[in-house]
Amino acid sequence: MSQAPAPRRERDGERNPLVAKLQTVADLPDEDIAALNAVCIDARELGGRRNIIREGDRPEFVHLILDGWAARYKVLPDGSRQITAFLIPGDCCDMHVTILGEMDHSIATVGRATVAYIPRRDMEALTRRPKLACAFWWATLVDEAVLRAWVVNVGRRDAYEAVGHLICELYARMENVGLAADHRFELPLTQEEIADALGLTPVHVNRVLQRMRSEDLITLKRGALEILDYRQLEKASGFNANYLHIEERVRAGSPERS
Amino acid sequence: MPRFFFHVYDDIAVRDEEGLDLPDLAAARRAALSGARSLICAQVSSGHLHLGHRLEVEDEAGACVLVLPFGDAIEIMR
Repeated sequence: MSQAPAPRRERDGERNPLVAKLQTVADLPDEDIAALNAVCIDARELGGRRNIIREGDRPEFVHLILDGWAARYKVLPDGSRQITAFLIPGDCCDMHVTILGEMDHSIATVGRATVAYIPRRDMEALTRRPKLACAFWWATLVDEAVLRAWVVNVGRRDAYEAVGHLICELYARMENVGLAADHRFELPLTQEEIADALGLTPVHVNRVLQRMRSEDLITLKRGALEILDYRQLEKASGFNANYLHIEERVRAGSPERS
Repeated sequence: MPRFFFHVYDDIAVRDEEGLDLPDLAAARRAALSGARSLICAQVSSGHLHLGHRLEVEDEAGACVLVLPFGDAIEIMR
């Protein structure tokens, strides 16, 4: 049975996880929040492992994860897959596509997910609101920072450290959008997906997870993950949350510490 | 698609509770090889190699369909 806590909601009943995420770092005026909510009304339920968008597509929509998870991935000619990012509620799949025009990778749901389909033109209109544009920019920069951390993780950490680092990161990101607390959260990933994210095999991931259990670092049962010793997991994996830029206030382009 | 479970027997016994969906036994064998080799790489990176460690693959009925000692997963040349 899952022991993860129910998701926290913003005090004003805000249910848009992108608004929740941006509000942790930006003071968005009410009109901007209203405008952002207004473009997210086309919310669609997708089953698990469904492509949201494929490499080569020129999409009509920007896709925002409202519920569930998605993964960016590339498939190699031999059929093997590298996942290059996990997208959680509040993450935009392809905000940049309004500038680039064509997808250079594919995005699929992990399990069932709810995705807001934002017409390109509506997203472009939003970016003409300066505070919102700045907040979007922050979000994109954080995505980039996460990708750098993944390069280090895949390039220089061993399997044990890399899995630990990923768990710490996912917990921190989920906590930041109110979907995790007390070092517990729902991890909807299969061993195969964790392996594809880290350049490992599912067999190896299973072995690492078991080692972590035996060291009383985590419990993981049917997707319910609890980090029993967060300090030790951070230390063992070399995790430093600085690259997530949580709790930095962004004001009109000049970031300040809150 | 059938599901196969890849249990690791190295210092301890690690059961695979989740399994992998694979088209057939040949695919399970390939997955076992790549899994074993991944574990072997980790050992070698630490400076050791236990040829006696092994993977055991079971099908959904719990029948053992493959035993793969690490020594059989690689060719060692001197």
